[in-house]
Amino acid sequence: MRSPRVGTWHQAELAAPAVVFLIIFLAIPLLLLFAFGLVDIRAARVVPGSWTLEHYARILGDPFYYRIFLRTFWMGLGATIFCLLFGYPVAYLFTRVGPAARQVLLVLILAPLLTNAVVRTFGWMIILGGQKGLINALLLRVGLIDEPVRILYTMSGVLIGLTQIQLPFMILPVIAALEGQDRSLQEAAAGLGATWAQTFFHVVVPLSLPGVLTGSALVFVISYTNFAVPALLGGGSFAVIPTFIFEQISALLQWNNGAVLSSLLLGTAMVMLWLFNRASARLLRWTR
Amino acid sequence: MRRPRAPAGDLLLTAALGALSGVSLLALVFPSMLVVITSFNASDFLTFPPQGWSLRWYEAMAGNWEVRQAATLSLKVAALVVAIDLLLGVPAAFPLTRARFRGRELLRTFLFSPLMLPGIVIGIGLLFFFMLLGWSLSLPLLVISHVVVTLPFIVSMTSARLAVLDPTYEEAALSLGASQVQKFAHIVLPQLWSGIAAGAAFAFLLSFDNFTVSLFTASDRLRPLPIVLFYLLRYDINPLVGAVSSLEIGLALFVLLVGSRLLGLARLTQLSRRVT
Repeated sequence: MRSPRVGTWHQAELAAPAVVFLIIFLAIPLLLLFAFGLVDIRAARVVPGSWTLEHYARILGDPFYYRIFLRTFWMGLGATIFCLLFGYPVAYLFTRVGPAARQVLLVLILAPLLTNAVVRTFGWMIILGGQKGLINALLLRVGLIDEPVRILYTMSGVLIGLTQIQLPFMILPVIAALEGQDRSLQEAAAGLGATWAQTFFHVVVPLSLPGVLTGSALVFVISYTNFAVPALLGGGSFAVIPTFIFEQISALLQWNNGAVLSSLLLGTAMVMLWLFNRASARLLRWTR
Repeated sequence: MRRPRAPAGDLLLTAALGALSGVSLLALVFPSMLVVITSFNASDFLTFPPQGWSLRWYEAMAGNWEVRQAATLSLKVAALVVAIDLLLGVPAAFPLTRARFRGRELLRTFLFSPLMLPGIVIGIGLLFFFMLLGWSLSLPLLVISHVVVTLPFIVSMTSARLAVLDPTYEEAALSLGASQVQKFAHIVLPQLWSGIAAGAAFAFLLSFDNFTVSLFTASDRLRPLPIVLFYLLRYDINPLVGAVSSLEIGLALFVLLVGSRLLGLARLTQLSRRVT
């Protein structure tokens, strides 16, 4: 039991400065973002009393925006699937190796997380780039192709870049889920005559699904809202919602469009996050 | 029931898992390694393998006014961000870890919410907010925008240390007649130091590296390093970027080393909660 005097350092008021700061510089700006889609803005000034649903109606009624949203959605989903395909084995490997190998794996997983997004994307530009890119130079030299293949500035290039950048966000939650598993279940399956592959697909994978969903939610939302990768690996004409918003706000000063699209981006991302969380909660109840 | 030979399915699965994890481990490190190798390239283009070796791109970087300005600005911003983060974040960790009051979970969710929000949305919201108030983009506003996204790291790493502190020492100090200030300075702070330092190191790095928020909250005349890098890459690949990027990779590895010394690698995995 704590003495009351020790408690004086632990009062809720100590969080007040941080809370006030975040209310002013996070909560209010986000509310403003939604509000700016509902008023007229001309020359970076709000036209007083001009509440309107016209901007939402215009954007929601235009199939052009619908197509960009769909492309952004596929980009997020594609990155999620690739991260799962390539990330799950690494997480599984992590749980099967000794402490020294674990340290090495953790460094490999964490280092990219700390490297600047632009820098990591730059690495992929060297690999995927035109005629002089690593992949094309190799394939041309081996004689597998006669013409350089175009990967940079295509959806494939964007997906490759996104997958590498988001891999840690998939690997770490899956590791947590795999580590939390009761090993005796795997032993029981083996004892009952299941092959290792059967145990893997019928015991290990189903029990790790909550972690998979947590990782997928993270990867999807980060990829769906990512700007740097599609802007650099997709090239100037590759339009997904984040790059389109940037153009609308920075180059064209179309703040109404920017506000509506940002609100829709955040709203759809939150809906997806909620769906993933709900599925994860269902699974957790089911696995226990 | 041991089998003499593993069934074909097992071999296939081992091969598939091995191949996939091999590819992804390679993909995790290879691009950064490539950036470092090509930064010593002697030719005008980024060719691989490099045609010759030189430090010319590092010289070009040192001689580039724009890059130098940007690096200085980014260092200045990151230092200010850490200072403000510490003032706001360290006190907030105490009620979050130790006090019991209604709404503590709500407080935690709110303080960590910048991690769950897309950086692009935070950046645009702040831009609109500043414009509405008639504040033109400046150094203090850039600093504020970085504090928003880095504050959760100071709070979470300080809380992580605080959660494992034994309150017995503090009670002992108080019962021996120490004042609250003495208790904090001599008992709490020395034990908390590693968490605070790790949080500060990561906040510094994340501010220095921040791209998406700065994209909207940095003015054209005050461009931090990641923004300058972005524009150097946007329409063409400028080899100068390799030299700058190599230094950034070095900084990231240094911070990872510092962080793992202070908190241990395993605890750093909570970084994966970052969403930008």
